[in-house]
Amino acid sequence: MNPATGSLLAETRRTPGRVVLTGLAILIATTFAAGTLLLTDALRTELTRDAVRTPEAAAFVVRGPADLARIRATPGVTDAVEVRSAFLSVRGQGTWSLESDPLTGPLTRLPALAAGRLPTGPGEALLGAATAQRTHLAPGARLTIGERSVTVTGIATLPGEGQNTLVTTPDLLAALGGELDQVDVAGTPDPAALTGPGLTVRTGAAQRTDEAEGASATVTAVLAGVSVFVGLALVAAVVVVASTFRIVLSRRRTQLALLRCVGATRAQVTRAVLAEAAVTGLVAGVGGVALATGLGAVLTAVIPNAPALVIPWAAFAGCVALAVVATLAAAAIPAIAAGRIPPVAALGTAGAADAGPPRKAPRIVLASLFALVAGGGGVLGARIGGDPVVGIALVAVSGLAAFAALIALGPLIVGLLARTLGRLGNLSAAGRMAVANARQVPRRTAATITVLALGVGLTSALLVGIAGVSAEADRSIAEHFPSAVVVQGADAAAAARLAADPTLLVRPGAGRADSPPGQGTNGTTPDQAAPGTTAPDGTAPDRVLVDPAPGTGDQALRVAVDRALGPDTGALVTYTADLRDQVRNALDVSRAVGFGLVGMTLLVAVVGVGVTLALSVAERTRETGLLRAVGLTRGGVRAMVGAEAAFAGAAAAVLGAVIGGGYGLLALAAMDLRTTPPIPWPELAALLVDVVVVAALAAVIPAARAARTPPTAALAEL
Amino acid sequence: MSPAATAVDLVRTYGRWDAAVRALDGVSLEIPTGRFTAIMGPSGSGKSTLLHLLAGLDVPTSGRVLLGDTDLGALPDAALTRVRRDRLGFVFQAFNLLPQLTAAQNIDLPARLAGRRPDPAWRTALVGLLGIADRLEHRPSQLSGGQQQRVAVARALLGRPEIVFADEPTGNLDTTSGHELLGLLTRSVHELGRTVVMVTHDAVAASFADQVLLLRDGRPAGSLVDPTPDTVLAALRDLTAGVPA
Repeated sequence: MNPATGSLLAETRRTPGRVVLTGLAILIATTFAAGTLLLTDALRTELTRDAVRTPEAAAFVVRGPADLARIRATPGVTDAVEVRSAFLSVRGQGTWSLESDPLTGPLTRLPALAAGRLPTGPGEALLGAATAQRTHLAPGARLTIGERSVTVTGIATLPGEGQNTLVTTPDLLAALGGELDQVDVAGTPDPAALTGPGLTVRTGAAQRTDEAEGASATVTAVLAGVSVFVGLALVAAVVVVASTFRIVLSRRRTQLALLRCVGATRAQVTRAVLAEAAVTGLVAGVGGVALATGLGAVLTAVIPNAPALVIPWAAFAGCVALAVVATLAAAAIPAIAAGRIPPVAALGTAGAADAGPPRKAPRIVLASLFALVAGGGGVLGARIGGDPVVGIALVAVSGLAAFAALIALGPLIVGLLARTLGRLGNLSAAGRMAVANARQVPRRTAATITVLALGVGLTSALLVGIAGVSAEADRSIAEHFPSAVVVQGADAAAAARLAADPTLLVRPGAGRADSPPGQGTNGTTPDQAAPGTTAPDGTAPDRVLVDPAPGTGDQALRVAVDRALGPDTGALVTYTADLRDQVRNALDVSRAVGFGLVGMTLLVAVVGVGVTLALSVAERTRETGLLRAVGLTRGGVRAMVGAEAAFAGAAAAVLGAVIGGGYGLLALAAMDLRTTPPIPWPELAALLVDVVVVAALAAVIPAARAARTPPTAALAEL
Repeated sequence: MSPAATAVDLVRTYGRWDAAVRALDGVSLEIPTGRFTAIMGPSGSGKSTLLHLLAGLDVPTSGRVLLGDTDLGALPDAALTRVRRDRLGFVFQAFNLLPQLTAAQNIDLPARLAGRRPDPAWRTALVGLLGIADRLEHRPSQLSGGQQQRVAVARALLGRPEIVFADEPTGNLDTTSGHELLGLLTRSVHELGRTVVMVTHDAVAASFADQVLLLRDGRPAGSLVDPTPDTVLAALRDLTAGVPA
């Protein structure tokens, strides 16, 4: 270790708080990375467990048109059951998923019941727990499926219950028209004896492995998606840490120059700074991994039935290594700059070395290059057509280039914004000082703003994207389901009964989902609709569109449709409102997940605001003291620091919302939607306000610290 | 005329218990109104501490400071801040301007903090008197030390304060600039009717004052009226030699 490194590291040991402050952003990004890995492992275990449906007792699985009696008679077979499934219309409840289960014996797939008892008679069934919650049905309820009446006897927690689900015996499901998926076979038969024409026989173990791998692939895809956002958070952290390193080093300019005075070479000083960065990265990485493990432990302790936490040591070591590399990357340019500090600076006065106006020309050239890439990628992505994934990927690349351009231009933008704000003239003294402070260190302010703008931009893009997809889904539903109820496959008699019901408005629909848009959406009176319930050639139409007559409520509508169709209908009934709810729920879930992912970057950015301000405040002790001496109150000092954060927050919010919103629209264009995407103004406005408030909150601790500065600090010896 | 400021039994200690240092050890004195008072003493005599206490920048361990009739010790921080802003002016040795503001903005700062518009005629007169009219849009880094200090004097005088406190105002200036500045302070007392209190260790600077108060080891050690550099130097020599003046 060269003595310069030793000197800097000794200082690091003396002031561990500064290491934490410098590495805070990296620590948070590492926490996300480690947390993702930890949760992915738990998720993989959980999903795999759910995905494996074939029971352990099934030694073989027979697929194809199997004859159960023959299989049961095969020597060595101790038990065999059919596995059937169907999607059937439940009267008044829309379409349900039906699954079969032997209910007892080694081949049952059921967990313990949550309520009620197992079905014993032919007309009995179990309800999925999530279904029970959604439909408010309880044991004892009676459901009508086709011509059969089924009584719910109990409730079971079923895996992956996205759709309303009912579990019955294979016999009942066969009678209802359920299709045979496979036959589970227990015992030790000769597989050759099981096979037959059109049948495939495989071991239960192979089947279970297949099922598990299918789920595992899903988890891997999810992990890949999440990694992108972890990567973005890490990029944000690198920008924040690079900025904090610049500040910290400029404050230690004299000390570094002293090292040069006493004979340290430039390379030694640079190496010393990099060594300090490595230590910072190591501390932040280990801290992040520890924090993620702690949070994971808390989560598993709090959530009932959570899987046990398995710590992926190798992956965690990778996380720590990533933290060190990221910190070194962030410190690289400040370290080289530190090497260039002239020895004579040791004798001069220490000032903010990153203060002063930024160099314009190289920044503009760099920004233009990035903007060119961004523009090209954006236009290509929006126009390319074909696979939307390629288009969206191009738009994403363009977005990253735009962010890079923003980083390059940042300091110039800060100057521009500050000048504009300065001209407003209506600012309070604290506000004026805040703008002057932000402008005095344009690079530092720009780093804060760009990282925050990245977070806001991602969020805005998400908001705009979800709004566009939601509008497109609404349009698509309105096009394919132009009425409150769509009945498919009703016979002529049932169609006539629907038309005859005075509480219903009925018109024929085109049979195909790919019918031209707008078909039948114009107002149709009952007089016109009634004769149209049969197609011109006298047969029943493929689809009947049913709306409630004025004054008919939702419940009455469902009762009337069921009454008209009668008990023995094979018709598929879709309630458009249910469909809309399902789509809305799915979008709400995507939105929540999206905010969680984007939130990582936002959190790193907000920490960046806090850390940068804390360092700035420490650097401006003398100036703050002077302000206190000439009459700025403690509250005024707090307001000044808060206003500086709010200034950065507002600039980032506007920049981020404009760029992010634009990229949201570009991504929608790449998806080739047929709706003009609506811009979610209220959500965007709320986001802007939130960002400014959160940025100001990040300033609370630095502001309190600044307010404690005594006026005599202005007179302290150098 | 009543004194501009009065110190009564001022004690200020730094540190705690065994490590405590008594920077001021029972000082009582009066700052006469409309006069230029210099405070002198060897290093560690407590002259800067006395200035901080008189100016309400620091709070005494015991004793009282009266600004006119106002007891500064009885004021909460916000009120004390208002007193500094509205009734006092400051000129410091260095770093006395905010680097992020222009000269004009620095001059207007106390008024802006108070939410007032500075009196334009008075401001123009001051800027002219101090010879900085053509430097107003410059930032401190673009001004010479003398110009910076004159901007600081303009800021101190703009609010027509009851007392202007100057802490080693010529410490960072060359001789010519220093004498110009002292001349300006003298004129602000004799022509504009201000009260100026200056801490200095420079006998020549002190000779510009109407009277010199001497401190030694945190206690008053005599005074000089209408000082000259020679009488000041003699008094200082006596102080350091341990002979009471």
